Amino acid sequence: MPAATERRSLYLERFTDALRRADGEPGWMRRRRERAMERFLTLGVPTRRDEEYKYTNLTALRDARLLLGPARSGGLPIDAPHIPAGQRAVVFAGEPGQVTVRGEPPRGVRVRRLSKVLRTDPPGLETHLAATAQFKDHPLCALNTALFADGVVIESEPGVIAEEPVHVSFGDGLGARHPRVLILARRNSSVRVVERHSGAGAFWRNAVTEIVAEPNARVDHFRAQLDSLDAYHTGVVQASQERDSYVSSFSLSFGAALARNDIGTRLVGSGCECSLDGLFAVRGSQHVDHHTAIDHAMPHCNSHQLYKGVLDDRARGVFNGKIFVRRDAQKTDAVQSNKNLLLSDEAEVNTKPQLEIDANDVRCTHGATIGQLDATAAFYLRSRGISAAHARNILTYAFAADALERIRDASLKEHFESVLLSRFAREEH
Amino acid sequence: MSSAVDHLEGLTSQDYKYGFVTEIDQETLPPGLTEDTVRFISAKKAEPDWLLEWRLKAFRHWRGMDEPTWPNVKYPPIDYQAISYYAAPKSADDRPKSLDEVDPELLATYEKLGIPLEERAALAGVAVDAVFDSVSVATTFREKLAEAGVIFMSISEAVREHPGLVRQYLGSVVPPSDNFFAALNSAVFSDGSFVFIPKGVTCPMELSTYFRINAMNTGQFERTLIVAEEASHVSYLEGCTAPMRDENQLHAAVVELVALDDARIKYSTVQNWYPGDKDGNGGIYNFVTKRGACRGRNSKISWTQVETGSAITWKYPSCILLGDNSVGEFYSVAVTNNHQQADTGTKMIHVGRNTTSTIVSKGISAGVSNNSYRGLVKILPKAEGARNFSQCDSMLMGDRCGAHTFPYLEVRNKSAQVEHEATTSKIGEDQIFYLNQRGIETEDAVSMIVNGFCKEVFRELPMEFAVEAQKLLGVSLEGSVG
Repeated sequence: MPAATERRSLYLERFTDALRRADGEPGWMRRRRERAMERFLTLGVPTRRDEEYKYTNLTALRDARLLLGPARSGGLPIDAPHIPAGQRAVVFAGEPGQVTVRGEPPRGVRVRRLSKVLRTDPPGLETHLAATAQFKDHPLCALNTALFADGVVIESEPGVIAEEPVHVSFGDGLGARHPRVLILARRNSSVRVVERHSGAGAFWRNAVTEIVAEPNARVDHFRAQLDSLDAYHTGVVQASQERDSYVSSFSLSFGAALARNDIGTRLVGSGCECSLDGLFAVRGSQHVDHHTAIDHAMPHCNSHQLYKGVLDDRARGVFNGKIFVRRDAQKTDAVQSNKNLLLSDEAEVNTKPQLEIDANDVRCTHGATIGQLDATAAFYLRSRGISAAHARNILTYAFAADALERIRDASLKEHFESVLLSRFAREEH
Repeated sequence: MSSAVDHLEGLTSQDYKYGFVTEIDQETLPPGLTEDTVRFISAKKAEPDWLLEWRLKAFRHWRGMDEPTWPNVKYPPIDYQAISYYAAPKSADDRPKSLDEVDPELLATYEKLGIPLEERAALAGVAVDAVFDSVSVATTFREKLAEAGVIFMSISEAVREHPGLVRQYLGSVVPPSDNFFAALNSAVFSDGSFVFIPKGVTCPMELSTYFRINAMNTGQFERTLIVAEEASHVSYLEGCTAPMRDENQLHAAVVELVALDDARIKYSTVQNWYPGDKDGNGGIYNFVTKRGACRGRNSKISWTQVETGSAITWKYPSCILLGDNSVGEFYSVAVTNNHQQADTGTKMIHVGRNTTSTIVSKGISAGVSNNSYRGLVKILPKAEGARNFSQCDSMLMGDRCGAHTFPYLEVRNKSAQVEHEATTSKIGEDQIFYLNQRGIETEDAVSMIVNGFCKEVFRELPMEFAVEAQKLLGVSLEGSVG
């Protein structure tokens, strides 16, 4: 049997399993799953011929063993030391649907399993789930939509300001995983979510997070990707923002053999603000790819982006940042910056900031730089008796930590700083 | 503001100032493209066998290629069989020996364009290899150039007189199989210019060619080849205007530059072909492949372009920086108004050590036009100490036009320093207001502000061109919203 036909029948087999598990879901969800599967089978795993994947080779994801390997694992406990005691944590581990929820959620914030929410089908769910992140042109998002077994719904009540974050942790496993998160911030509310991916072993995590910010709501989303160096990570974070809302996204990407993150927001109401920031530090033969897209559909919105990358050894980094300014989006102010530091001769960076502007009364800027450490600064440190290796680490840390300044949550910032530091501490010996 | 807008809109309706048709008998091939067409063109020019074979190879390759769809431009499908691939003024069989012998109608055309050939040549000291449709009809100052050892002639002549040189360099920078339009050009190129600057020679004058498309439905397929030997310098000007047409015309030129050790080539273009009327009918399709190879150490290639015409522009003058310490530059002003579409930019491929490149691109969109910058900066692993600076600014006039930026930066060497910045903004209302209250008309104010915006590029143009470019810019933007 040709490999493609074989893959197709395996996908369909997985889909049948997913539908069986999804028994009891409302009809609209089932129809969406079917459409998504159809879409995925039409598009297939993207190839480098696709402009969006020009620099990222996903051939490995076609491997049937990886894609369809056993859907169970040892289910190691997740190491989540950064979750302060008492804070709400949702932990995914082991088999699909094996979700544990622990701790108390912040007052006014509901954290529920997606499988349960789907079966009660509350009003509004149909509008947002599998509709915020559109799968029509995104095969991997389509695959997640078709196959996800469970996930989590985080919903803040109107007017609630949640002080403490909700933690969502995804552990390791084998085969392909398709976790799903839906964050719903009702009117005038504010919620913080920390999404953490970590796990050992060779697996493929294909996550989708949807964020909906109702008028005047605020969502701060932090995503830490610390998967094992044998893992493949593909993730989508898609937000939809209504009038006067604010969404911030921070993506930290240190793990995985190959990571691809698509982070986007649609500003569908006026007066919105968003900031998409990120930091990646990779080495060995790691490959990390960030694609961001900000769609300014309405006037008087601001967006801000800062992405920084540190690349060592033979690592490769890709950044593509799109800013669309639609005809009606007058008075848009969009700023984008991408800075990359190359530490080795074999590292490679491909960056493509992209502006597509159809309105005239706007201010849009982007900048991209690629370079190495400043020799003068390194010399200065050496002259003060600091070893070459240490000097390099100090300067690299300073470069990277700048991006962490964009994190407003103090405890989280501290945690990410320590993660960053631990990477360099190891290197010095 | 609204009165200013009205005022400007009134000006948009201005017709193309340089639109007129010269009646001259043409020897034209019926439309269609087959191997026989290629053979006909080659035979007509009495070309040697190797060139015919070269053309046929390109043609066969072209047949298997697909038209690119990636540029950010939209146009109805082109029927390549509906185009006539050869048109030459009748007098071609019996070439004029000097300007006096040139068909007076042709000379009158240049007069209308405001480029009196003799006068310009005499006063400005510019040698003009004027291309009227497909065959060069006048070359001036050849003696003076010959004295310096510079070869400046049409490429057909060069094939006859310097076959060795042409054979050595033709297609060495843009191979016939490079892309769809380059392959088409290689198969059917009609004529163009050939420049050869020998070792150590600084070309005594600026070389200039005026292209003019002047026959209904005949695409022009120019081929330009400039070779600068060790330590030589040349500055080449290319400028275009075209008569008014309703029919879309295809133009697929190829320009190749070769710079050896310590050589410098400066290539400046002012492109003002017919952009179509204000409803987007007609206009030239300009699909051009321009590329320069800095083969030698310390060589330098500098592209400067002012693009105001054409319905569709698809053009990426590029530099391949092979030699150590070689330098590539790209300065561009692209203006689109009404329904024009431009997808233009550059490629800088850093191969040698300590290579530097500079990109300055200014895009101005008005009306319902779309203007895209598409550029690539590629630093290969061996390009130790490579340096690039890119700046792409866009200015938007009018709320229905678009500005797009697609810069690709690919870096594979840590010692490289690559910087890219881009901004998009509208023309400053406060600036227009300030100039208005000083008694300057809105139209002049817009022109003044835009010229300021483009100053960095105009500075790079040779003096005569800079003046023309500034005037052109003013004309092109008449009617844009302030």
